[in-house]
Amino acid sequence: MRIALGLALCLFAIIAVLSFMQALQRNQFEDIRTFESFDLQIDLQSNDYSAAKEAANQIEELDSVQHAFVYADIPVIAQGTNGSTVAGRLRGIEGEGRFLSNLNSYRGFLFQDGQVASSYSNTHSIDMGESLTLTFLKKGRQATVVPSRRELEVGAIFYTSSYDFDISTFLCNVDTLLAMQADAPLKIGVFTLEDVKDVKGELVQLGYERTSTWMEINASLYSAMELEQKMMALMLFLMVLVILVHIRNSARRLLLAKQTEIAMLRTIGLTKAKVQTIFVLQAAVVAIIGSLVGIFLSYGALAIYPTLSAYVYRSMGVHLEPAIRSGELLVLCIVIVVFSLLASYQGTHRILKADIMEMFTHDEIN
Amino acid sequence: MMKSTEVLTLEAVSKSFPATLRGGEPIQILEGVSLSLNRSTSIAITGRSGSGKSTLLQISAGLLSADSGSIRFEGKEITKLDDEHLSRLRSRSMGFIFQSSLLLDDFTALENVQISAMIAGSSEKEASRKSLAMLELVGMQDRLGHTSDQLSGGERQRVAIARALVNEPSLIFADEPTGSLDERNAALVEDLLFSLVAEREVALMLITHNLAFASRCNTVYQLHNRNVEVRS
Repeated sequence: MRIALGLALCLFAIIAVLSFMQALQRNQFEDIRTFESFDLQIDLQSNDYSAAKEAANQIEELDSVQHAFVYADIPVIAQGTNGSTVAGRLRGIEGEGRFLSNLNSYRGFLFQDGQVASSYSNTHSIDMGESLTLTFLKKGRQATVVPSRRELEVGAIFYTSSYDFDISTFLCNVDTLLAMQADAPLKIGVFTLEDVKDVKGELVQLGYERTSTWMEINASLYSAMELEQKMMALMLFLMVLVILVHIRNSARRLLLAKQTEIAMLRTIGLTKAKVQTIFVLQAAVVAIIGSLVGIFLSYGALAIYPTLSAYVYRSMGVHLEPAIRSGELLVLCIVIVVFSLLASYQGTHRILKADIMEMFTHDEIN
Repeated sequence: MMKSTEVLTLEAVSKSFPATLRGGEPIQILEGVSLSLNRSTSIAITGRSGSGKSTLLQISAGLLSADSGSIRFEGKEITKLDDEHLSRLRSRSMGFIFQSSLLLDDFTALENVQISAMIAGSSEKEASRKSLAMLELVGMQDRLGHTSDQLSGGERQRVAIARALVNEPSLIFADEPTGSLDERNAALVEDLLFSLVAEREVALMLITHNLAFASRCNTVYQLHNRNVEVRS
């Protein structure tokens, strides 16, 4: 029973790490794709707003495209009335689709002409109704020779699931942004449910050659996350290895503890094949019970997770939605059961190679 | 043709063990031992400690392999039998009583006897019936549900005797069956063993230090200089 419980806890630990890491990565990828850089973005190299809107409409007609909308980013330093500053960006955007649906209005109304929206994360320094002084920077966040400044009222407070986005971004509509900096280069953000590489191909064919996928835009971050994924796989592999060693050692300990009994049963006529069958079946039962308890613990923890999510958010700053992939779980359970059978088979095979009296007298058959 | 009365025949049996677990010059324990045992007769093997008495019993029962020689049990050469056949022979035709009774700890007295009958091929019901009768015969009818650790040394040996006899074997191998008992319990077990062996016409191979106990057998062998010689 203790062996089965040990197996169950190991399985539970693996499932917990796996589902949390996957949820964390999903969360990070979703934030990048939704708020930071969209699924694809097209650099128009123009500030003709009406032409940009026409292009967005044309792109949105593609079957593979969910939403396409015009936006522009300007690097800024924002200064509140109390003198505190935030280095970030002002994003002018036609809030639509996934972007808008993931943008939560905390107070006020978003995208009011001539007003800017700040995030809830910045309310300690820049609150609603206050006047915000924006100093426009060049690309790369360098100050211009002659500083260009504008003042805007904070008309709304928003929040998203991305803390990084929230602390560095001020939002307004495109008209408001162009009114402050008419030569701001416009871009088109695209959301799609299809493969981004395929959609990029379609857009390039339409003549939008300066199209980039979210993976290309965030190449360094994406590769870092890929590395994280590989490390996670390695860690999980090591955890599985620990389970397998635990199974092997448990099978060995069990057989050593039962060695005298095996010898006794052999003395009164039990065949080697029957001894082996008994122990292999016993290992199968232990592995199956351990796996079932592990699965029960995992799904149980998943069911009560919503009550713990607030604590996770406070400690990690992210809302995670862990999920269990039944395919991975099944493979893991099959590996555990099969290895248990093999470990037990190999262990009994080794013990049974000895003469019966050697089993009685030896502490361990090597 | 008349059926042979020989149950066990050993011819030129030799056995050596490595000096250490890592090998080394082997120590010769038995060398060219020959003896035979007929139905309804008993032999005792005596000798000093470490002379190879238990080894001889274990080899005779196929519990330990011999280096050379022939061991025939009921006319079958057991050194040539596969595991399936040797196991069947042990379960149906041999009974074992060791110094420490070697009962299965988690099993009750009844179950310890019952499992032996079931391994020999009896159904659960039949095994239960035979085991109850045998435990009654050894005076353990009131201790059927007790596990090994709830029984005294003498009681455990009586259960072991019941287990050895439940399948009506043709030969009982008894290795110091009273070695760990006090005088009174030893005498009880001795009497019980000899009365049942005589009553059921079973052959007995007894290993003991106790010459008085040994003298109750038809033949007493002394194991000396790696071989046996008749003592009386």
